[in-house]
Amino acid sequence: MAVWGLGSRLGLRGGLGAGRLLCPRFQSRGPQGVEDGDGPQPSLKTSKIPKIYTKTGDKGFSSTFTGERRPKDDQVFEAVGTTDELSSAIGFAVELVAEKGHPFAEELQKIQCSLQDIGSALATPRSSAREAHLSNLLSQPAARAQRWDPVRVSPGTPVSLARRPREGRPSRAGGSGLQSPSGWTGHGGGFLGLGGDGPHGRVLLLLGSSGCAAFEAGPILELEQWIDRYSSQLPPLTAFILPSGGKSSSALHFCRAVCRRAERRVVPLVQMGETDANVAKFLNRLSDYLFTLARYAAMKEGNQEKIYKKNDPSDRA
Amino acid sequence: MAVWGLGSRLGLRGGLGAGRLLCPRFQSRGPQGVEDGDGPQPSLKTSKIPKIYTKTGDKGFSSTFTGERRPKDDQVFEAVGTTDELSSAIGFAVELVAEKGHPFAEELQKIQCSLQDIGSALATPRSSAREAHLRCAAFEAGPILELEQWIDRYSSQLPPLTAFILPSGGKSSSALHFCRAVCRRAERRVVPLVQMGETDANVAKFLNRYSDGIWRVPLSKTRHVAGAHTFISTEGRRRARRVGHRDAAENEAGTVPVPGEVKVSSGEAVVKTRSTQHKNKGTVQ
Repeated sequence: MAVWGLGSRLGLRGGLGAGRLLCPRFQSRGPQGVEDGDGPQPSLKTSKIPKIYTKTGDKGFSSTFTGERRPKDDQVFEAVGTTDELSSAIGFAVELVAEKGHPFAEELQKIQCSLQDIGSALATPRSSAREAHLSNLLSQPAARAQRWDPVRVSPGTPVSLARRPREGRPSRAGGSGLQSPSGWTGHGGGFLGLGGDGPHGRVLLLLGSSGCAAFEAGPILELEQWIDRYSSQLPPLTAFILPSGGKSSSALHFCRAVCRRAERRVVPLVQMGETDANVAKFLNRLSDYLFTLARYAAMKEGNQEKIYKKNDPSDRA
Repeated sequence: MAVWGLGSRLGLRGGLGAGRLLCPRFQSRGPQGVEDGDGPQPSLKTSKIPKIYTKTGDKGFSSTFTGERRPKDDQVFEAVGTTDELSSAIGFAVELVAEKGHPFAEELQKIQCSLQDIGSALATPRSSAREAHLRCAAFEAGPILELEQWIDRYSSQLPPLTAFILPSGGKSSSALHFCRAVCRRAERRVVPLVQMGETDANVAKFLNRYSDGIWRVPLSKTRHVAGAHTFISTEGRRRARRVGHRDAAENEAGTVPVPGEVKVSSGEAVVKTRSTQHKNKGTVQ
């Protein structure tokens, strides 16, 4: 199923691509590109590399993970897409943060992984979800352990998107899966998304398979721990600050503002009972984390934050 | 009172924090975090450093400056939050601008302060405002006039625009173009509140004026003319002139080259489009 926004975030488009790799169990649909009858028919000389564009979304509709076809301006896709935008803004901030050698770049990448899970939850509206959509496999320790690990490969290493191996069979490095020195020995429950190229090489996200609709409280508690840790090193706020403090800091302030927008898009879905309340809580906590981190980054770089000054008419020339 | 969006922008959360510092007179509420009964109660061993997260917003509601509790997707918070996003976009642009040593970084920071005042005005909807709130709700015309003076000053140094330009021109310039676009979005969010009588009309005017002016600032350093098919930076013009192109020389004199291809040295971005007869001032509406 094509999950527009979410699919494009992963770099996958069209019929079953995104759905198959995000929620590997849901293989009830036809091959990629023929889901709606408006995609290209496979030719006899089938190209080995599938095209990223399938044109299934050209008429302005896309599918949720529950199989519902909805217009692209539906609230669900607005929430998914804004979450995607947030992850992209964070991705840019990570580049600036990493340039300065800050250690919290990895935390931000973990958060991007959580945002991936949030997208999955949002794309699984409860009103159309079957039991299988709602079940949460994260109770399995192996799957949970895989959830957070970013895997790095050195620049120039060829990477291919991995297909999920069958249940119970580990993947083989260089076989159907990742071709990289680091290999990939998933426990039959993961897939790889391709992240951006950073100064440390491509960052790949190893995600565990999971029920899509639920979002755990664990990441929220982790955010709170991080906030407490950074806050304890910061001087108390005694005045309003403007978004400022260097490039890392202001990029994080921008992420904070986009996070607030994502929360505004999510809140009505939670109120309608379509989405786990933890999704909104995570985004609420995340904006506090991003604010704290922005201040922390400014402090570490020795940059002064600008203070709000009331506009005085006598200041004007 | 918790002014979500505005509060987080300012780094203050929970009951009275944002309200107290924005409008110091309004101290009619209890201590931070106990406004709605769903925040943490202060313990006997009170931590010296208040936590930035109060969890009062976890259920999807927040308060305006007038004390109303509204859902977070309310139009008021959408307008406040988009203004916050604009201020953040400007904050990032300022960093790029300051790196290049441009003198207008301070003007941009004054604008950020005005956006803070705009946020206060938006967070004080007139329909629920008492007399004392209305002083926070107002937004003066002074900052609008100041913007107009800045725009006039920069515009006087620029040759007239006779074609569309693309958002481009270096990192400072394109960051400011991005701010312009976010400003337009903020204005779109504010306009319905003004039309409903909830917000001072000067708020929408300020955002309109800002987006009119801010994109002209970077043009004093570079020239990017889509209708003329070319992107020629100051350095590019010098190089092109050395190569002996008449178009580039005319450009140096301040006129806009006619549509056509101008060869510039390798490394310069050349934008080629289909020939067009459009001559447009390129103002953004």
